[in-house]
Amino acid sequence: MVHPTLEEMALKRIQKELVAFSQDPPAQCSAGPVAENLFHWQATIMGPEDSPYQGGVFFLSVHFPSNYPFRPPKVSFITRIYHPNISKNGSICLDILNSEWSPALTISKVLLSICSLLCDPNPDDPLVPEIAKVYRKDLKQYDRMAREWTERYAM
Amino acid sequence: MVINLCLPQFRPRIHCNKVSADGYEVENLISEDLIKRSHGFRTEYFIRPPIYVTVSFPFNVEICRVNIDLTAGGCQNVTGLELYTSALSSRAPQDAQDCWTTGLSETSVPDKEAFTLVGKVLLKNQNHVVFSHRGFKARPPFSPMEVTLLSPAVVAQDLWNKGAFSLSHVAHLKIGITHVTGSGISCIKRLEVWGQPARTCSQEVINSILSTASESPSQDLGLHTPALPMESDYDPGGQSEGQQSPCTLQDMSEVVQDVPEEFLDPITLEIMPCPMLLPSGKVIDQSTLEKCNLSEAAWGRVPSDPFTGLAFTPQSQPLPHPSLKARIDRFLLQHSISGCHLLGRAQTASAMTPSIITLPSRKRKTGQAEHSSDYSLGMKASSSATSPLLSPTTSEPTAKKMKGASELGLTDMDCSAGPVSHEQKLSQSLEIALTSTLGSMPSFTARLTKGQLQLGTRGSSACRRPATSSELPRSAGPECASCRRVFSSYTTNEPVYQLPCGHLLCRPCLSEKQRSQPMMCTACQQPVTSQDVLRVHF
Repeated sequence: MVHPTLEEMALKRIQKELVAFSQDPPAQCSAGPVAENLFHWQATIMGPEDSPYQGGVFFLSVHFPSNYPFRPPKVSFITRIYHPNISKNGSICLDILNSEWSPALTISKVLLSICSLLCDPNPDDPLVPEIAKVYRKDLKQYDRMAREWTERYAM
Repeated sequence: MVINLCLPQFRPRIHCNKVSADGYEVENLISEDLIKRSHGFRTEYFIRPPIYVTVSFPFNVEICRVNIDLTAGGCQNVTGLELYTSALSSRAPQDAQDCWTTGLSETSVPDKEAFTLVGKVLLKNQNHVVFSHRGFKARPPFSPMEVTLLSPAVVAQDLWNKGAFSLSHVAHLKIGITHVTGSGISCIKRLEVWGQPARTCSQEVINSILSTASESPSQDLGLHTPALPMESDYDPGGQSEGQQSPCTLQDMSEVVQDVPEEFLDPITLEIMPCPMLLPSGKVIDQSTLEKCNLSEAAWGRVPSDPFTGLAFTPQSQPLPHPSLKARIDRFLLQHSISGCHLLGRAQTASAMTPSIITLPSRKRKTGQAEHSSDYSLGMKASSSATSPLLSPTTSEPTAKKMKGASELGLTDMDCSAGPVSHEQKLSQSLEIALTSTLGSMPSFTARLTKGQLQLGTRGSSACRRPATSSELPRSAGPECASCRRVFSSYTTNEPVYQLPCGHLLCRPCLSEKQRSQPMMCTACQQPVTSQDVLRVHF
């Protein structure tokens, strides 16, 4: 008998992650497949407290590659957000979604890492240099803008 | 006021013609349990319309209004809805009185032809439907109810009066879901049937109903009050996720329970044919480790532990896990799970087979090829002859004894597992291991002596030759070159000897051959000396 195909292996892994996510969801996060395609999920992240995104609900799109978990999932924001490491079309600059991906990581850990990124932006490696500049020079202006965008797009 | 006849104290009965999802039975619509009522009714995900939900009342009723809430998961599913009513036969007053007073339950539901279509509606983006009876007149002691204002999300539809008994003498009410969007799930979150007893009901029945309704006004209010805040606090995402997870959870729990979790690769969730113990203490399959190393190499990094990210060093690198592999192999053989590769003893047994496969092709080789082959065999023979001299003489007998003891242990294990079926399964796995994993997999044998290393090398080199040979082996397993008896680890415990040319001999044939001088191999007529004969085990 032949080995299971990469897609079958990925599907089994994604189903296992869906079961684990339903049984033990991380705080402030939720996720599930869209329609009947298990390779396309939609996730939500509540804006962390003690951050200017507090009170907002941010929607994310998660696409699993066919050779998951040996390649990272593609995660992007659907809701607009004022953040130096998240572009206006939703791309996320996060190392575990690119070079530092490990097959041992799960979507639950990825969402928690994105929550952590919202609390602690990384202006040294910005995706939007203008926001990173504001974050460095005028933190109050950054907080005000982030809160304004949260109220406008995420509430 | 008119009463909601779907409340449990009025003892309605409900039935659905299709399978409902677990936890979302159709009885939830009339249940006394508030949690069940909040769940509502939902079919299994694979059920397609039409779906009919039939409500039966213990007495004939006159319908004033029917409220149906079709909310499910925040998205509109049901797009076509129909309403049917049915009346009992001419013995209605007697039956109604008996059912109500004595609590007898009626088991039969009228045939499809007995139902009359009294309402129909097509929905676009609405979740609530209200079927109202325009000609309804409240009779004492039931007083008219205040007309509630309808929001734009509610569809108001008048009921059609199709005869004397279609709306004023109803015993069965049938709700038909005729259309759903795409692959939506048919569902009814809440059902309310407001009305009053029919004109033909006797005064005793009416008094009983009235006392029941008046006995529980607070309960009636309590039933409805918590529902509204629940609706306002409705969370589409949570509801959608909650509804999808039961099926997935059940399916996954069934599959996962078949195999012990320690036998599954934590990254791919497949059974591990070749478990490897990582420096972090985790165990993954060798193929998974190779894929992880390829992913690391794509970023220009050295192989590392996927769980810790630490690079492998000569002091800490993945090691084969022979004890776990033995348990996995036993589990696979016991449960007849095909498609997984077996190594270890299967590999050792498969080392015997290539020599039989190469026998016919070797005979047909040209003289020059034979000379080169003889030369290489001679080299191997001389190297194997010198290796015993290098090893200490005191340790060799001890190694032999330990080998014999382990062989006895294996024999006992094989006998307890059932020789015949075990042998057949092992033969099947032998073929798989031979074709795909023989040369490239690490050996899981606990201890390899130099003679066995030579044997393994010869076996792996012989494995490559069948690719060029179109001749199939004549026999299934190893056999004696002289008397053609087949050797098996289950049928005999006699020792087996191998000549330098690769042919096997049993003990009696070897003794007979040693008496004649000079010793010659029966199969290939090669000269043999007593010092070159090796004892082999499988």
